[in-house]
Amino acid sequence: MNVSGLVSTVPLSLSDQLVTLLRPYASLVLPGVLVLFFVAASAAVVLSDRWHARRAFVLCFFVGLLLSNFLLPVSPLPFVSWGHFSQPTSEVETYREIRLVDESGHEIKMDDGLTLAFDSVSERQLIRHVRGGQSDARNETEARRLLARASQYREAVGRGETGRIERFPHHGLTSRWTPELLDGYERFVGVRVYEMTFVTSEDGTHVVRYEEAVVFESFPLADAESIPARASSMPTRSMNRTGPRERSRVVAGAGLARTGVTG
Amino acid sequence: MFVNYFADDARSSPVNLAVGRFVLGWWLVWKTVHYDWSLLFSGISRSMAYNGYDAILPVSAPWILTVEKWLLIALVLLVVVGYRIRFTALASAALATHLGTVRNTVTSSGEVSSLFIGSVFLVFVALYSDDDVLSVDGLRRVRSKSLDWLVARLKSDDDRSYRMPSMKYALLTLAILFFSTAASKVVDGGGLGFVAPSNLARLVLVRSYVYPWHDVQLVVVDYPLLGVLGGIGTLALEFGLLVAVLAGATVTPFVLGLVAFTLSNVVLLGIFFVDNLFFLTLFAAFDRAYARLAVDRDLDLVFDEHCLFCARSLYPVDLFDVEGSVTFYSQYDAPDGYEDRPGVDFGRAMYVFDGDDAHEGYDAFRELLRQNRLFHPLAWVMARRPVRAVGRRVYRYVADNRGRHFACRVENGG
Repeated sequence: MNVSGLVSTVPLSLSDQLVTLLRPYASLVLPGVLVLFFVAASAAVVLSDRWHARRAFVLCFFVGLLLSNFLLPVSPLPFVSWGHFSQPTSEVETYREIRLVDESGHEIKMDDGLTLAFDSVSERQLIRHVRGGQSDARNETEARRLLARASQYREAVGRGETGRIERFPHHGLTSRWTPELLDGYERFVGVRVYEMTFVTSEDGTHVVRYEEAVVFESFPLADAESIPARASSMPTRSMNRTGPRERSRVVAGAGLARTGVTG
Repeated sequence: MFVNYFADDARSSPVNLAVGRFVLGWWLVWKTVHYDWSLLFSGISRSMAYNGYDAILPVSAPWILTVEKWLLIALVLLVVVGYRIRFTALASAALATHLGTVRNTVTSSGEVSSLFIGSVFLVFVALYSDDDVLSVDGLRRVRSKSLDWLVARLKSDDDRSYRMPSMKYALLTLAILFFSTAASKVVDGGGLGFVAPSNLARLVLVRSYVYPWHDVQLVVVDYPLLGVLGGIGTLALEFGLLVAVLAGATVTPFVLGLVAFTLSNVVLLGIFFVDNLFFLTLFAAFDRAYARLAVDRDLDLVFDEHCLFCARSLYPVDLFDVEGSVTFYSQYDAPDGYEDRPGVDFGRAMYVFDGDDAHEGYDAFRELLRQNRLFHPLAWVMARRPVRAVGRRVYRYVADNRGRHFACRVENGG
């Protein structure tokens, strides 16, 4: 995210119009900007002692950086903009997550490290992809892929090959599977994607209502008649814990258990 | 503690730029070496990938990414030592950007955007490589200098000044990114929504369910005022860094604050912006730390001013002597009495004089290393008997044959 909102008050701002105009050509424009950047950088390096080449390149770079951070709604690479958690929270917050389901119906939140070899893909992008299946066959294919990765990753966790300090820490230090955590689970047979809605108090210090809904599920490794029912609902703050015991933050009497929420 | 290169990009020592290259290089190696890049073109990661950059991605030949990784690492290591920086830094930047673009197809989080930031820094390093003195390139450039230039430089008492525009532009880039982050918080938050007491409390509370890790962060929920202070502090730091940079003020409190902010993120939200720590470290005043490690003693060094090889060999000594504690003399202007000391022969070797003590050849080099505690381990190794025996022999051979095997103009001086 960036501060292009500053100019969004201008009727369909110029930057939005530009993006709309160029969107059909994104697959040309985006790589084009990247290639152009390095062609210009190479020229500036080669001609560094002539024609103010370096200064011109640096000036153009900072113009591009300012545009991509303060004007354009998107940042064409290699320009980037940061905007972490810039949107203020609201009383109703929605999250989505992928859970793997074992033969007994126990669910465990996916450790996003399993998506690549111990690093992660964007969970949001993955969920959008998994949900975007137009056919049962594709859905099942994607679920199978996840289950296969989960199985490999589970073995790697058992062998202690994950979370090694020699690897560069990847984004998100949370929801890490540990051998102790996985002990209580049988073979994973299916995948569920949940949409979790948290309604919090006005001061943000308590969850007053929690709802969750399955927005996708696929059980490619279970017989049709033995697909486990949803045994429990989440979240619990004990799930995927790698630290000490939890403290409940759910208001008693709001229809929610202390250690989590039943839905 | 940290340097505002925008206010003044010149330092009295070339150390910072060399250490900056080292930090940037090792960060990039650590970040890429353990990663199996070809996985990005397989399985679910490819099927969910954003395809806007496919025109420049070797989708059908994932092995190219593995080749790119090892090529990148080799090039970055050359950047670290400063070998042909113009090419190696630019090529490293291009490869890191390319790999980053591949990874960007499946996630655009901070861990990926940092690859582009690091690449841009490398481009700056390539652009201003001629200012990079403490590097293989810098030492190679000395080969084109005349003996007279070298001798004059060694003997000169003038203050040294080393420009570092690459650090200036890297700092400005980082400051703009932080400023933009703060601005987006204010704009997206409709003003002060970001610092509202409920905001951080709710964010931490809900994420403690979605990404359960520990309970420490719930202190922000219990004491929302902490969240308010944290929010205000975050905005002040992110806005303030650019203001301080442009105003030419000290950046130290802002950089330290942003380091603390980065670490507090880990506790509160479980996010590990570890790359930021490396980027902020680039601007530390390593030269001051190096100077603090210097030994408090003055040395006199006497060398053969007709020997080009000798003068070139002593040039790095001059670069590392940030305190100016070594005074260079030739055999013709050495202080009275030095040559009359027993065993001293300026035609035979280089000498270092520490008060009444005279150190010849190999031992003189060892004394020079002892001028800074950073090199004491190396000096200790050099003092071990077998190493010293070999070292002295090598020095003797080089000194005796410098006219034959090395670029050395031996003639009668005047």
